[in-house]
Amino acid sequence: MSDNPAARPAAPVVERRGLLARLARARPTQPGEIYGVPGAGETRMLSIATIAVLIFIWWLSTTLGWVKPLFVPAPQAIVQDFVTILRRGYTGEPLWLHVGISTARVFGAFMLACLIGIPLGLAMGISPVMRGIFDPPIEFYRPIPPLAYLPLMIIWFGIGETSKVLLIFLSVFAPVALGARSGVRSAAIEQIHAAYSFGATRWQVLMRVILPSAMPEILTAMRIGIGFGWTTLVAAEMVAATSGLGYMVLSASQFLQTGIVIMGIIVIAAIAYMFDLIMRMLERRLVPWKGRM
Amino acid sequence: MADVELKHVSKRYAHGRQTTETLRDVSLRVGDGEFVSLVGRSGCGKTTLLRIVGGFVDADGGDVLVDGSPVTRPGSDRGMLFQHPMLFPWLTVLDNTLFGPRATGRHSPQARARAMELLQIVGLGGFEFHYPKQLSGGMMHRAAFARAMMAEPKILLMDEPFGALDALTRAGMQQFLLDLWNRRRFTVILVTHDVEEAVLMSDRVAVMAAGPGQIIETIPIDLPRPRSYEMSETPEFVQLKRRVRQSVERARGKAPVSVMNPTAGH
Ligand SMILES: Nc1ncnc2c1ncn2[C@@H]1O[C@H](COP(=O)(O)OP(=O)(O)O)[C@@H](O)[C@H]1O
Ligand SMILES: [Mg+2]
Repeated sequence: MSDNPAARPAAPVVERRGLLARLARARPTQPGEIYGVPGAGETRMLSIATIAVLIFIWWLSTTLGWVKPLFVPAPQAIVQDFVTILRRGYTGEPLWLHVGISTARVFGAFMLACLIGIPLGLAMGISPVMRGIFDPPIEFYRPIPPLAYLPLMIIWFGIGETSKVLLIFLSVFAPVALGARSGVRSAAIEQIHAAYSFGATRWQVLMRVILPSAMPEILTAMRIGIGFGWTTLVAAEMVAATSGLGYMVLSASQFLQTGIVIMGIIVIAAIAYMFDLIMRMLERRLVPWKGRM
Repeated sequence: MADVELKHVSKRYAHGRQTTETLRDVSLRVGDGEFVSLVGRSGCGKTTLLRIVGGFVDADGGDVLVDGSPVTRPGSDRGMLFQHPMLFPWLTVLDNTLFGPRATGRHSPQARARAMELLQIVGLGGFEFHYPKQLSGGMMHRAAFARAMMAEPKILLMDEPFGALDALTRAGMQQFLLDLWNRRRFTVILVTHDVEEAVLMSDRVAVMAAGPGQIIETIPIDLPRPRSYEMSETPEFVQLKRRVRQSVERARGKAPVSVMNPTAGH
């Protein structure tokens, strides 16, 4: 604006503030957008590009012989392994059976954990007696890695399905119960008071105010829980299993079939991701009222 | 019948080892069908007093009687309108309004029709199926008002219900409340910081002082009913307004006009 030469040098200084300053500066609102929502914006294209680049680097490094196929087989070799196992199965069982058994173990344990964990968590949230009783055991076992108490499970429950499902159950149960418990505090005390002043009973306040308020947190806990379930799967299937994706990965690794190991990992990741998508859909369905603005 | 009687009510809040005396020796009688306002600067314990009558907070000392029986818990005889709308975000505006009838098993097509009518009256026609997050602040307050009226409480406790509304909407809501009260004559305790509102609506205005909260004066408002906004320019109205304002000013100096006086009037 000014023609005063003394004011001139100030301008480049502003421009030289660099990337950090530009990141820190607020952007103007784009059409159809709410100003200042953290992390707003589309990420799909970037994600797809990232995956494509990673696969390309993988392909490049195997094709150019930077790594031995024993350590990292080429992407196309893994597709081949996948097709072979799809046709002929693995150790005599078809692939869908391995997938089905693993899914049943994780999903069964997850359902059981929700069925017990959500009511128990809610009860812990609203009752000091329940909290007093169940807080110590849950807080005691929660930080212990499942692998550490796996031997105990085997000694107590044998090598059948019980110990496998129980192990997964325990890893899902703690986050779900604690999520439900802290969700109880989501209801504002005035909302609870309002409900009472409309003649609601204690039970109605629980079911119609506290539970819906806790719903978003419960659903988030369920999402985290099922993630833990898949994480624990391989550990659970280390126990004398003869089927399941975890078993497939472990036994393939013993025969140095790296391709099958990686393929198994990708299949587990894909199924876990599908579950996550379902949970997110459930979230949109059940708590459409949640969200900013 | 629905009268409220506070006798020598006191309340302390504890913060760690310290306690603050929020209410000291508050006595107030609100007769059946009477409209009483509580005015006083913020922090003088108006909300606390209302919560005690609502049964949400326990008084440390004194008696709180509704229809002669002590208050021990909230009840649908006492409707409460909070400072914040406190709608249930997971319910639509209509379902918020129908929360009470559903909870008490009085839900019916008539109740639904009445809810729709109430929403129409408070200017939310066409927004029945919106979620609270889709409303403006003032609209949420009006929805909360409709929801409170739906329960047809015998006693209505209101904590600065119109404070967040724009002047035009506020005038409309005040008129609506006045008309409704004229027809149904429920008992009202209205907390407000708006002296004009207090004079316009009330039979009596109780002026509170802070630290510790106490009622320093109760001023009868002998204006004819039914009332409307046109009255606010009459000399009587202006004079009463001045009187209340002076009392509020005196309350800043925290000198009770007469310790024996608070329950007087009417
Ligand atoms: N839940 C609470 N815990 C501790 N102190 C409180 C609580 N509620 C109110 N107080 C104290 O009581 C006093 C009166 O508060 P309040 O009744 O909200 O006043 P008002 O509604 O007149 O503004 C304030 O000093 C406040 O700090
Ligand atoms: Mg207040």
